[in-house]
Amino acid sequence: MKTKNKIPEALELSEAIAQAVRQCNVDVITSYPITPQTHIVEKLSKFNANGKLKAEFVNLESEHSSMSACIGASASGSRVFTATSSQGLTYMAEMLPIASGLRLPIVMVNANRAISAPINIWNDHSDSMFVRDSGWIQIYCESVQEAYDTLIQAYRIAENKQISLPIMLCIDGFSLSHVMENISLSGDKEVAMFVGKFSPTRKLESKNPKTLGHVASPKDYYLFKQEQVGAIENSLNEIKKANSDFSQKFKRKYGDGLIEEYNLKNAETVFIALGSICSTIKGLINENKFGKSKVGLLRIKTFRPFPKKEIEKIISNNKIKKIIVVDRSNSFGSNNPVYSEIKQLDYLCLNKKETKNFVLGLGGKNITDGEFIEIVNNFNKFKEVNIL
Amino acid sequence: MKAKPTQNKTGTWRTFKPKINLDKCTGCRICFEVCPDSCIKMAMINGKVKSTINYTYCKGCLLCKKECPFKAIDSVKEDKI
Amino acid sequence: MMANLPEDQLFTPGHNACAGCGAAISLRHIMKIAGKEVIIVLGTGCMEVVSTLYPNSAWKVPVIHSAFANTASTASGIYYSLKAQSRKEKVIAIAGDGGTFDIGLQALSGAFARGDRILYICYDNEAYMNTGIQKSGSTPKFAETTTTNIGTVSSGNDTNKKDIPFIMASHGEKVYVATASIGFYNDFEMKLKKALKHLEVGPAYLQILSPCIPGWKIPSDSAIDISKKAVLSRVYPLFEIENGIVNLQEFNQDVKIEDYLLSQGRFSHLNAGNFVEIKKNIEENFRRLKILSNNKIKIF
Repeated sequence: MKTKNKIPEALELSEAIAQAVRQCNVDVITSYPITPQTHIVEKLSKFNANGKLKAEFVNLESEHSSMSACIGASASGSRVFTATSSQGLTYMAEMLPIASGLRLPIVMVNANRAISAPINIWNDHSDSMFVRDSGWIQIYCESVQEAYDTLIQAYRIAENKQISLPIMLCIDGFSLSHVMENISLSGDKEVAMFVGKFSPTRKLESKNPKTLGHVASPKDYYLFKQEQVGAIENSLNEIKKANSDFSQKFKRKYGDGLIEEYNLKNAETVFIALGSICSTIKGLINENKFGKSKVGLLRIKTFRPFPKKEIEKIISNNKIKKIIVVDRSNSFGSNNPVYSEIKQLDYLCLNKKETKNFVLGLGGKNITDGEFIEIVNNFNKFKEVNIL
Repeated sequence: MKAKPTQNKTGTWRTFKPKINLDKCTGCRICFEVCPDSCIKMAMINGKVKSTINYTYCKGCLLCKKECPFKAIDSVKEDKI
Repeated sequence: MMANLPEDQLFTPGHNACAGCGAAISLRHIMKIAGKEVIIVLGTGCMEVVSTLYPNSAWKVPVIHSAFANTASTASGIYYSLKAQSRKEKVIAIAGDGGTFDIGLQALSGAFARGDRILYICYDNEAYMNTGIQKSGSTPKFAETTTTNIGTVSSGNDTNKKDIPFIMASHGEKVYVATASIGFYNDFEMKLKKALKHLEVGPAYLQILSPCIPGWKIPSDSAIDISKKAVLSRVYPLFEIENGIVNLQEFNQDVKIEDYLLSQGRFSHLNAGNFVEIKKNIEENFRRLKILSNNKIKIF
């Protein structure tokens, strides 16, 4: 298939992801449908049916099996890909820490969708936040272009021998998964070269037999966890490096790979948010909708590992007086996910600043421009935690 | 993290110890086949194939004694108990 | 009786299975026939736990354990990976009856429906043994387990054993299915070899009766003997289903059902009424298998 890497083409995110998967020479793709991710596996299936994919495309009978098959395939030395959302993610939740514990560089796209109950097919972050402790690297994308670019970087990051951890690429369901944008696809050869070949240090093979997935008793289990902690901390630098290497080669970058600063130079009020809602906020900033308020955005691209130092550096700026932490899910009974991360920043960063939490767009609820403006202009009238 | 295997000497589990009567043993290999712990090896003893027991791992289940068609295996209680 | 097994140990001594464990005999035998060019997927259960305690492993072939419900789907993933790499190793999934009949059935069905060329072996000890003897879909009626106790108002398990061999055979004529017993080595070996060869065309399912010493409440030296009685009493018939046709193995000897059941503590409470019901079911089942087998009726 001829890829047009000079002229941008209008592609739905699912198509862009499918192209990236194809270009990264993924060997095994596991599929199970769930709204709103299904377009991704459908596009890949179509490529497969037309002989455009050099991969084994497998339809599993559940998401749990889908992730299990990824684990088996990755452990046997194959580069793998799958996609899911919401209930699918929670159904395969058992396998997520196992994939991480077995140190398998699986890459998965999660099309963010609210989790039941009640059942809801629209976008929020309750699914990926539910599994934020599973030991997967979690990266949130804002645009179709970014999702395409980040997927390519994801294989490189995951397969780095100091890391060897699975990566979850979070993209907002419908708000991004079903969005068409003009995007620039890179060339097949260039992408293949950037990603390289998957050459794991260990894999299941009869000529070098190993046992993977032991029972570890109390005297040993923690040692494995220590290694995982080290690995995910190593990934902070590798994510930055992948972002800058990608930028050098393909001329596109997203902040430093961990966070993106938008209009923060003189900002007094700062939004902290993840995902495609950031585009809405950027739009309002660009159009000066916040009136006299000097508003900026700190977009968190990489949520796990949490870029604590990078965020502290920005937030400690004395000009910042008000911090609007946007969550798109709840952590019932305590601080919501993003808010809890911000609250644990060094005291000195948050000192003399007012920080409030806004849970926006649960279950795909539309937040109007007016509501954003209200948050900024009448910040003082809001409680500490608000669900809008 | 490189694993450093240790020896798991399951022979310490035994209450009863199987003993092969080499005169009666015909080398039929049935005990070799049935041992759940692969503790029986066939060896050449005085020019004939006979069974031998690996006592490091033998758990003393006595399946070999039960299944031997020639009643060539006896059992004794372990002394160290 | 002599199977002339190779000497090399791919499932080594030093594992923590109970003394006399029927499942350990099954596994040992499987590895002797299957050889080195395999990738093993172990489902959560007795055999997985006793053989892979870090930093040791009783396996001299590549083995992966991922979880409980997904032995077959992990195996499917490996199968596709090997296919993508044009590798020749055979994929063998090994799980207990709990991990096969119940929690693992969805994944197993999916794999067989897709025609994934894996050999799935269920070592059948008729309960969740690793967690201390709880009822599974394989537990025979009236068996005592810790979740189907004998009491003033209960005579043990009140459901019949699921017919997984037929369920697996229903996935299409490209599936090879067989039941086996460690009491009949030659038959077991023949079926295992056949199943391995069958992977050239489709998936294979092997169910091996593997008595459990503490679970069945039997002496530690009795696993082989009881596995023979199970077959000769017709409680655990040995058969194959190949190309949709049943092939029943019949033996000249006969053992009374009472002899088989009462040799196990888990059935020691059976009364006359229970025996009548059990015998009726056993005879009906065997008769059905005989009719299908003798007439070579194509059922799938």
